[in-house]
Amino acid sequence: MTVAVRRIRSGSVGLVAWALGAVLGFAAPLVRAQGASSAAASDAALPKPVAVDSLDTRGASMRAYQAALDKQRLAASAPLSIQRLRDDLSDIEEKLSSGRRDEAIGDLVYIVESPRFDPFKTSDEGRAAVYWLGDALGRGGAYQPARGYLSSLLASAPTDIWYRRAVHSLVDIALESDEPQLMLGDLKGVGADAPDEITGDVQYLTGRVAEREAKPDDALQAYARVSEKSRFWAQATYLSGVIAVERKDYKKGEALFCKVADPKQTPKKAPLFGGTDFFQVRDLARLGLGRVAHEQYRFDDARYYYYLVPHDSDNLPEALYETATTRYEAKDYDGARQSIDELKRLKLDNAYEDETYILDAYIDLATCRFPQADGKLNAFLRRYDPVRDVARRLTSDDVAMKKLVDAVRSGADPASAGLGVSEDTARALGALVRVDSGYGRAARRLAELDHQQSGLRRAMGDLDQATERLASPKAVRPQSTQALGQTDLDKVERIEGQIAELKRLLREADSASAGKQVADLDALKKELEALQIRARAARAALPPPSTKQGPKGDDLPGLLATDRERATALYNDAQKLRAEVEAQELALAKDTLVRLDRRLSRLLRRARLGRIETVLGKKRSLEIEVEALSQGLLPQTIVDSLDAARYLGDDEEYWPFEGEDWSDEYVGGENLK
Amino acid sequence: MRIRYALVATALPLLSLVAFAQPKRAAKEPEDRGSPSKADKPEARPEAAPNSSSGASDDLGGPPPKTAPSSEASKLSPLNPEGNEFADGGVQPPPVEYDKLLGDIAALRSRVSAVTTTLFASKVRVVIETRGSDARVASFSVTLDDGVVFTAPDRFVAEDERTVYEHSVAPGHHVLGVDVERFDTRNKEYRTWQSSRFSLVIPESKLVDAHLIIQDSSDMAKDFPDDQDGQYDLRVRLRARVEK
Repeated sequence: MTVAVRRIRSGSVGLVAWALGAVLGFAAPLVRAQGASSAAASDAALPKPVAVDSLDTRGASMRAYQAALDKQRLAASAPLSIQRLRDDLSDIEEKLSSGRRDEAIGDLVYIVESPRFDPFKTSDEGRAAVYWLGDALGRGGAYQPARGYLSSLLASAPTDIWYRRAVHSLVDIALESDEPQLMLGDLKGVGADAPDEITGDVQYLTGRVAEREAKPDDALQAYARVSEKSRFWAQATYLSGVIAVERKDYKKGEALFCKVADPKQTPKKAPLFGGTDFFQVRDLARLGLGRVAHEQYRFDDARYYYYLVPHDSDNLPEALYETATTRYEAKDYDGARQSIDELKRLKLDNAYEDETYILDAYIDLATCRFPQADGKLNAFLRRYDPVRDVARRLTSDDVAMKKLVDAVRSGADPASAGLGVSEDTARALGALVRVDSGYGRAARRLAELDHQQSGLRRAMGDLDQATERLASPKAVRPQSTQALGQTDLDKVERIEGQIAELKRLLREADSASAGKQVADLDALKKELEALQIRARAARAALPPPSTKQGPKGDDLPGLLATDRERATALYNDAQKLRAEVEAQELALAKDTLVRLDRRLSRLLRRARLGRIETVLGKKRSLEIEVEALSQGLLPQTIVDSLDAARYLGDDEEYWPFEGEDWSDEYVGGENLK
Repeated sequence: MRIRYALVATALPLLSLVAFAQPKRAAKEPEDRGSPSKADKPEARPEAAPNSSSGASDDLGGPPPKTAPSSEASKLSPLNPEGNEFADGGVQPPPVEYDKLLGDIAALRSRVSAVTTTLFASKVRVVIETRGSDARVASFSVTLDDGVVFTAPDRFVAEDERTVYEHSVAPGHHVLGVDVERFDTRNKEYRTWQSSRFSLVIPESKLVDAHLIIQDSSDMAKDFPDDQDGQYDLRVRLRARVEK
């Protein structure tokens, strides 16, 4: 695959993955720079784990609780009504909109998994409650129960609002998840008679799943069926274009990109249904058109397409840099210089800063401005040599690496990430790191797991309190015997924080020693390694949450004891799983830095070669000058230097005066009275 | 007639000699700049790989590769990135049991939350208020005892009071925690991270309103860059009262 095509691919999901998280959905499978065939080949080589397909809402356990509560006369006795449901739903929607999702889920489960709810199940309010529960669970990463609740809404007519919202929600969840084919299976019942906006969603998902399974033909067919009334029309058309370009069918690819990029060719309703995401995809389509034209050496066309990227677009630096590259390759050095100057005027940190530096110098080189080119290349080497060295060093420090990539991903200042390098270097590093969309997915998985684990710890405490409450109704929660923030976990986390800080100090000391071997530093590094081993051992030795054994059964204490035991088992499983998920995240962070190292190494080599060319260029220009002198031709610089007028100041004149005297010249009114 | 043939016969070799003696015409310039010509691609050869087999350790890499026969495929600009600088898309799927485990935990948590609503009559409500015109929250979470009960979404603002948690809890002692990271809008380099823990006693069958005011009156970002003298002034105040 050519570089332009790679850029189209990576542009679609890599560089703007965060902005397009919802637009392009599960971006990870699309970031396959080696092309569909190689990705498919590597997929085939790896043993693919089998996804667990389950629609279990786990509602039976809650129903058992409801029955047990009822037996003890603890269940809600007030009858449920439509009005009450409506009021409750209003509160719940408010909680969801303000980010209190866990609370909302608890409230909804309490309502939906109650026998009192059964008569209202098919009412509008009842269906709304089921929808909100499924949607909230899905957005929180609990896909299996979410699918269970949302699929139950697909039994009604497609014109029903909760049916439509359930389809949209299932598609969104599928695009977020790693197993979208499962949700696609849930949507099989959506018929062709459903409204366009719904079938469009399903067809788009079908296309994405087909692409994931390396079936581009199927994907193209599915994308072609996405109607202009679908919110995914632009994405589907753009991705069809990407597939065509990957097959080197540039004409078709260009035509598809044009449909999105050119307002005259875009169906009128598409921007209305596509929302703000539509315009982000339009920018990508324009970049894609530019790259295709560039790939075919149609440099003027490429310039026009890049020019179409609007000034408020996030892709503007990319467009300007690529315009400059195109003009450089077309030998239009003035045009290239204009684009570079425009990019500099933006004063935006962008991932092309390093490449822009080199291109800028090479334009000078091409226009025989050798001293300027040499100065720029020298500055580049001074600035980016340390950055490359730091990128290399960070790959061996997991904590620092993660801090940097997290800072870049979250848009924080890398200088405040505590990397142990100078602020300029940290910022330069932060600006250049091109975080892969896969990293975002891995980070999200880890965050979801951490969130659920934290909630589980609290749930275990609640279960213990509930058991005690049942045993002695007057009991109150005692004060903790441990000091605040002095749990074993807190202590281990503090130790790990200190070790990270030590690493930072050592990195600073390393930078200060300027590559010299210092015996003290080596000793300290060995000592630090020993401490790291002890810290790891301390974490591994953390006691698992204790299980309080109690009699199990169908009554309330029995159910609480069963759930307490289950919670402990889940917590321990989550701990093990966390290590795997974290390792995946670190591997991707490392990959990001390794790729940066490769890129900077290439550019540094190019800068050094460029400096050699500046010397050769200067030599050649001197040779030409000497040759001209030998033929009696003075170079322009010498001719200019013979012009005495250039050495005169503003308040000086020749003496004696050699100019013309005009007798009727007005000289002013010096002697007027 | 014979003379005419003789003249033609002598003239032909002479003309051919004249024709051969013409100066050679220069090679034709490419007409269209846009056409894929060799001139459009200033340097034809791709670069050597960073770690070439020559073992050269400096940044100039190994010796230049031998000139390959000219072809369109090899005419890449030297400033173009190389394939290995792009992500290979080899994102590993999560472990198989990931989805199931997350579903199980979420379901168990929702069950426990629903049951405690029935079992405990005491309640706690956490209300947040942020103050400080130049301070912005980068990350914010509220913990109750052992677990996080609220994590702020991006661009969290609570200039007006905002309820972030309200739920039934067991009566007695609880620990309410706040972890907040802030930055100054005037200069994002200046960030603070603060962790506070408060012990609360929740009476039986009562609702305790815990009102947290997170204040930032720092002038570090404004003053320090000017005169190397600034200060952080961060406060987390909690007022807890039983709702009547």
